[in-house]
This record gives sequence, structure tokens and C-alpha cells, in this order.
Amino acid sequence: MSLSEETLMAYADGELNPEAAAEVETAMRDDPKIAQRIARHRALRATLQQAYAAELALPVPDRLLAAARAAPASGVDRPTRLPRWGFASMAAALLIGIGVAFFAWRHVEAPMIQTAGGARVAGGALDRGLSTLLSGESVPGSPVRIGLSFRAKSGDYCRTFVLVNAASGLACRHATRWEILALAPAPAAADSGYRTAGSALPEAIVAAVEARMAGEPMDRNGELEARARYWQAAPP
Amino acid sequence: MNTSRTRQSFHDQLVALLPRLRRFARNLARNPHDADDVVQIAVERALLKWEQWRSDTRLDSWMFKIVRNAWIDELRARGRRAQIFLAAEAGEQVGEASLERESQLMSVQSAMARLPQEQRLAVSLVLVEGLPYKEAAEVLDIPIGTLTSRLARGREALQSLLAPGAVP
Repeated sequence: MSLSEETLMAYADGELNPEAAAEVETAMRDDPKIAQRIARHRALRATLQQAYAAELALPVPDRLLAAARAAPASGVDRPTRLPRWGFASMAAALLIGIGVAFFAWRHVEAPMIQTAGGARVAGGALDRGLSTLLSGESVPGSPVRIGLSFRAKSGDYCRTFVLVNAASGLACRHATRWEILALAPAPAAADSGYRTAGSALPEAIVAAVEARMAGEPMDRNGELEARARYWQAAPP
Repeated sequence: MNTSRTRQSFHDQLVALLPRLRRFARNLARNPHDADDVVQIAVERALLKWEQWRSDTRLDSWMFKIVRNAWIDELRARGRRAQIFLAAEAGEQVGEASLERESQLMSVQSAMARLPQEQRLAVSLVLVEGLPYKEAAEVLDIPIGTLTSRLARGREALQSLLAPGAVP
């Protein structure tokens, strides 16, 4: 009996036409192995569905909700096509372009430490680094390095960070932002750069970590999974 | 007005779809923050041309396709930066393979991360998002035969990565 794996897969996915499906069902009755192979395809589907179901419950960032609710940029009464541009409007567009570029640059250079609601929170490159980098990784041109990641007793994710030659600190994820719970200036730069992230941390940061950490620092897999969940505290 | 009611319902459906769009985008972009950026771009684009969507077709497929195209544009725009990033990512995967071998259980997500992009997207659309083959092929702009072979290969790879005892 030669039913291809693709045919059995399509049967398990409900993609075969009635005649082809009937053929598979006949084969299934004659050969329990075929039934097993189909069951395997169905089980994998169920495994994936289950593994990814939790992602649907993640809180959606406000900026995406706002984007989905916003009126389209080109309103009903505005033409969908751009008008033909004369020299004057081209010059204006060039100026706007420069303005946009400047704004974009300003945006990239957003302060790394900001205040919001009385708390110090990470912004700009620090926010991005805390959210995306794994321990030990770095992005060319960014001063942000991550030391270690761990779960706090509160269940929140926390990470230590170093801003090369400037400061180091501890940040914990609360809802949609990284709150900076401890911050210390970098030690004298005499021989910096050759020590491990751990030993380079000032006493104040180490103490802040020890006061909060539950269990062991996270390994690489733990970081990958936490990152995939946007560092949202998971049920223990 | 009828149009404004239709548009309101479009907004509502779009908001309801956001969690699935983010989930698909994460399988596409790998990095969750890139994923949200690309969802935002896709949503903005969709609102510009919402009247092109025919209400007798699936909005999820239509949106997945816009997300995918937005990601392709994003990669092009990043140009060289993206190439460097992708190269680093490939290197990371090689290193990870030996590390993973030591752990007993591999999560479904890490197994998915090990698939080649084209297989991961086929699996993501059909098995995670539940699209029929025809719709998934349409989202990825490929013939249905190509979709089924990518899906079959992706499934096979996942089966062996996730099978208990398959990892020595």
C-alpha cells in the first residue's frame, strides 16, 4: 500500500476531496500502521495549537490597539492618489524629508533613562537592549550589555545591565516597561572591559539582585522563552 | 452611514485579530519587538486600503499577507544591516544545536525556531493559525504543491525534534 506521507497529512488536515478521503479510510481499515501515521499528524497539530494558545492571551501593546482603531490616514474625502508635484512642493517635500530624518534620528537617540509616573524607566537603546538582547550579546554601536536575567520573588523578570563606561544597573519588567530599580556609575575605567559582567557589577547592584532573586539566574533557553513572551511575568 | 458602520466593523475585527497577527509575526520575524513593529506597519497599511478587502473572504488571510509583505519590505529597507543580523542569527543556531542536545525536553517554540523559515511559515499558518492549504499558499505567494511539501518537511522535522527519546 503506497499512500504518500503528504496524502496522509492532507487527510489529517481535512484537505482531501471525498473520493481521496474514502481511499485513505479504506487503507486505514486494512492497515493499522496507516491509522497510526495519521494519528501522529493529528497529535502534532494538537501539540502546536496548545503550545501557541498562550500567546493569544498576552496583553496587546497600546500602540497596536491605537493603530488598529485609528482612522485611515487618507480620509474618505481625500484623493487616494498623490497630487502631481511641482517644484515648489518638491522643495517643501525635501524640507519635510529633512525634518522627518531629524525626528527619526532624535527618536533613535531617545534618553536611555527616563521618568514615568515617579519611576525610573528604560528608554531608547536601553529599553530595546533589555527587551531583545540575550546575556552576553551586543549590537554594534550600542553601549548596552546584559549581565544576567532572573525571576524575582514577585514573579517579574529582572535583568542586570551595563552601559559601557557609563553605568550599570538592575531593571525589572513591570507590565510594558522596564523599571530601573538600581543604578550605579561605572567603576573607574582603568582596566575595564576585561572583567566578566558579573564581577564588574558594583556592590549596590549585586545587593539589589540578591534581595530580589528567586532561585537561579536564567539560562539561555529560559531567556529565549521569556523574550518570546515579552518578559511578561508568567504564572509560576 | 452604511460605510462608516462597515468601517467600524473593520476596526473591530482588526482589533480582535491583533493577538493572532502578533503570533504570526513572531514566527516570521523571530524577534518579538520586530514582530510588533511589523504588525503596526501592516495595520496602518490595511487601514489605507481597507475598502479593497472583500467581506466574503477571510480577513485573517488578507492580514497575514499584508504582515508578510511588510516584513519583506522591512528586510529590504534594512538592507545590509539585516544581512549582518541574519548571519549572526544563523551562527547562533549552530551554537544552540549542541546546547539543546543536552537538554531533555525541547519546547515547541524552540523546535519551531530551528526550522528553516519557509517551513516554519507553512507550519505556522496551517497548524498554528488554522488556515486551509489554499489560503496559506495564497498568503505566502506560492503554489499549493510547494506549500504542501514545505508543510510535510516542516512536520517531519518537528516530529523528530519533539519525539521523546529522539534527543540522545
